[in-house]
Amino acid sequence: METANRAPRPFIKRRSFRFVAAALVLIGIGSAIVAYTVRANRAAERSRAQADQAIERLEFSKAIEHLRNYLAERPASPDVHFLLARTLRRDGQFDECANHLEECKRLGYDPEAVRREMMLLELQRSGARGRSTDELIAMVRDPKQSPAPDPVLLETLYRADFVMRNLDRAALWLHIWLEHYPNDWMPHLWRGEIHEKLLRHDRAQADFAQVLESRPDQPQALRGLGQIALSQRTDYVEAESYFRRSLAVAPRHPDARLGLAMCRYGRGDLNDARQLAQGVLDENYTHIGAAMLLGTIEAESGNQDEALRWLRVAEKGGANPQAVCYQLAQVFRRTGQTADADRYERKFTELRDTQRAIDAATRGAQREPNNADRQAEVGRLCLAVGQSDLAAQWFLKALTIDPNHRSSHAALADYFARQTDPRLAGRAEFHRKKASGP
Amino acid sequence: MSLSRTRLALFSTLFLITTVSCQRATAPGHTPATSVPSEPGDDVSVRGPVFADVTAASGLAFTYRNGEDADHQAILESLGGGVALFDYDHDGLLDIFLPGGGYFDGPDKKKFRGHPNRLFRNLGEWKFRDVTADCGLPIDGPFYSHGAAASDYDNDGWTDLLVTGYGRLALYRNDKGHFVDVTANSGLKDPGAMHWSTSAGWGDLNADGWPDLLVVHYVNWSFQNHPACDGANKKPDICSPSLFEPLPHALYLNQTGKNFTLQSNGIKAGPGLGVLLADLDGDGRNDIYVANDRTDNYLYINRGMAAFEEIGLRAGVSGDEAGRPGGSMGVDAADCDGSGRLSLFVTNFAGEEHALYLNQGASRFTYSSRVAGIAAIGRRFVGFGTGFIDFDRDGAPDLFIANGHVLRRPASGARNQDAILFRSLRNTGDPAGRVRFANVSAAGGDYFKTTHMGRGAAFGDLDNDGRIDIVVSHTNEPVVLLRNVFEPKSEWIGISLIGKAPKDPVGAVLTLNEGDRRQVQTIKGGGSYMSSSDPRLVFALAAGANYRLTVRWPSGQVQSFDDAALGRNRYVAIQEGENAPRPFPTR
Repeated sequence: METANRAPRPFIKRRSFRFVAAALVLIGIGSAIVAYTVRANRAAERSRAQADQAIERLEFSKAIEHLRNYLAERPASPDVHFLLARTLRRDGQFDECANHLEECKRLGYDPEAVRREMMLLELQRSGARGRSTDELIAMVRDPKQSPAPDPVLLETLYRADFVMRNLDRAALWLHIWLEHYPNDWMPHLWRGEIHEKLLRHDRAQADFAQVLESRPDQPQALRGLGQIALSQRTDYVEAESYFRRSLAVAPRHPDARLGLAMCRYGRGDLNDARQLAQGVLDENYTHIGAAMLLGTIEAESGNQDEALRWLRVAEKGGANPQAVCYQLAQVFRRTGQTADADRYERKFTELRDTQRAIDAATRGAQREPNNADRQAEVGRLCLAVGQSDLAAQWFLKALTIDPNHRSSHAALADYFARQTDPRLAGRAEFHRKKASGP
Repeated sequence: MSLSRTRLALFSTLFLITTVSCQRATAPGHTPATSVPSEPGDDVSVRGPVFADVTAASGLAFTYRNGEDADHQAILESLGGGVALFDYDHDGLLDIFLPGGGYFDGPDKKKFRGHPNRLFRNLGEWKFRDVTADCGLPIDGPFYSHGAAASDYDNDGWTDLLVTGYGRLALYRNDKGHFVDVTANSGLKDPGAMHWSTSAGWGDLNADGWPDLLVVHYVNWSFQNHPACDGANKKPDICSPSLFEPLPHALYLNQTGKNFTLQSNGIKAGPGLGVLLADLDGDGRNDIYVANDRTDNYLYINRGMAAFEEIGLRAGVSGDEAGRPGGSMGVDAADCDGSGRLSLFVTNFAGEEHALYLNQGASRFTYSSRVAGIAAIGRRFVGFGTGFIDFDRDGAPDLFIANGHVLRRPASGARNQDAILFRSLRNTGDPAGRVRFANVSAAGGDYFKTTHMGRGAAFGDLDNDGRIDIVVSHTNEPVVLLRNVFEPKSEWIGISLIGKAPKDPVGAVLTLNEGDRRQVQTIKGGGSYMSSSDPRLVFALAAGANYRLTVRWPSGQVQSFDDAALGRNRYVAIQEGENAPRPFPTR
């Protein structure tokens, strides 16, 4: 009979179907979990890799973002908390750095490493204030710490002093670093920046060139070399090549775009220079260098109204007072605004006379390098013409000769009080107390 | 949605995104920051060579020497010498006077001595002969000499000669081809405690019909005031002029050709190296521009009767676009932008740009080195002798610059530098007030392919072929004679003006109108560096075109001549007040 063979199949089928379906669901869920986990792991690893690359390029903001993304996937990673803490410290975000160090402690990270990082945090946050150079050198060269100076400590000290405008001492840490690790590119880069600020162009050039030996596309070094080629040799071809290489890596950097604009301007391509400068101003309306350049271009092109507009922006932003006063005087005169022209011409003449006095005072200070008053006098004159950063260096130099030089303390108190970085407010207070006497 | 439709949508989206991005990247006003700009300079649009060095076969064998072998590193050694081109014997050919320089003598090598100056007579066909002894000029060098300025100061029709230098100057009156030293009774007294004259310019400054004289002086260096200075690599080198006090410049008013009186009211001191006399504000009076080394350049506007007001800073010609004074040496002026006004060109030191100041009228100038393409050559040059010369005779003044460092060991390593030849890119019909120059040195000729210690340069038509030639003096290197061998397409007319009084009508303005084209030239005093150029003017003419020449004399008289009267492809002399030109040479 045909029906006798069919009886068990529907039951088995129903059970098999349910089993298979359940298995499929479980497999699906499992797969989803695995896929999610794999995806999360990959995303985390990717974030970590990106963070490492960003740190290598000194792009701390990007690195911090990538590390936060990593921790979003793996919040209990003590290694990454530590790395993030260090990166935040290097970037000057001290409070958040401290938070992540606490988390490291909680997660059981190497306590000695955390303790040391906290020490570095306090050192950098305080600007190494209150510590003498000899004391810090002893710390750096302490053989109990390591046979050779620790680059992490040296970088911390450099950052601490750099922010506090102790440029010569900031350079000292980098010198020591390079004594022991001459092929490291970062100290060359940072020392080059210091040399530039102190107008030691030859030394800056040597350091930036050394950076490119191992990092041929390092944009900051390329920009630095471009600026030196432009300002010291007016080699437009060479300068342009550096700026273009820098822009290939960091296309929106305003300094490189402005440098390229100045090269085009120098070579007579005013239209291109105008566009480049305008491009910088489109993103930052008050960019002093771009405003000054555009004002100069418009003045030379005969567009006096536009020249006036941009020179005013440059003036308000604190551009070189002599240059902007002279240019404004000329533009006002061309547009028949004689009273304004006369006013700016008088101001230009006064500033120029002061600059001549600075030159003479500088020669005097160089002849008497151990005379604190001489150094401070140069600083005072620099302040009069708006060169406040340079003035600060002269006052600091006076203080290395006479730590109680009150007029230098008073000037530095004013200088630091005007800085926008809140870390420098404490510095202002320190100098104010010293200025008022024992 | 099917897979194929999904893919289509995805690619379309990508295409649109890409297309829009590209459009944004290339639309006006959205030039990417890394766009490659067009190349504005180095336009070799000239078939060279423009100049041929014909020195070797010319008989012009002469070297200005500065005495640096005494190893003093004295700033005196750095200035070099000039060139004067003038027709001393009225044969219609420009002769060449060359100051010889000097050296240090005595047991301590601190006695100043002059090397001989030389006058070379132009024999024609690019041959020259030393006639110094024949014409009464000193055979030996009377003093350490620098520059020369030629002018008919006594209005007798014969061009006289002033020689400048350290310790004194000398005035030689030309008595029909024979020179007499009249310095002693000339009244050319020193304006300050010591004498170091460099450049000089002649021109009637008080409208009395007699050429006056502006002599610029340098600094108060002497062996009693000789600091040791370090150059690059901390080795001894020439000091900067900033370490010395500037000497007063001197304005001498001509007393009817008999002598001069010093009148320096309103004339400031400065380390002067270049001087130019010309009507820079278009009021019919000769003004004065002084190129100073490391301080403001001066623009003296003549307010009448030789009363001057110095307005260099206000006028925008004292320094660069930021008002910074340069190490200025040479100067010239021309209507280079078609405005009809004289614009100024000044050569400067290394680290600075040579400065072009375009004349906007009303004693206002705009610093225009970059927009004009001058700045494109960079800032390594130390420029000296210079001149606006229309080497290609297209009616637009071009530019020549002699360069050469002053330091023994410059940071760049190279004392000698190449000369520069700029070509004006102005065409007929271009808007007035704009000019652009292209560096055509590569087509300049062999001289431009080698480096030199360039100093004074004088410009003139040495073979009367309507093309401007150049004579360049170098330090410790032979003088060079550059013959203009460019083949212009244009014709020309050359004008020699003879004023009633003064005979050399500095300040005369000549305007040639030819169809839509207008060329404006003027007779200038001084100019270049320590040098004196051909007083004649050459105008370019389109082949066969009619033209009209208008002369505004310093006296105010205006005369006009058409092409029928003047002709073409020749020189003519125009005497003030006469209706017809005279053949050239005349007198």
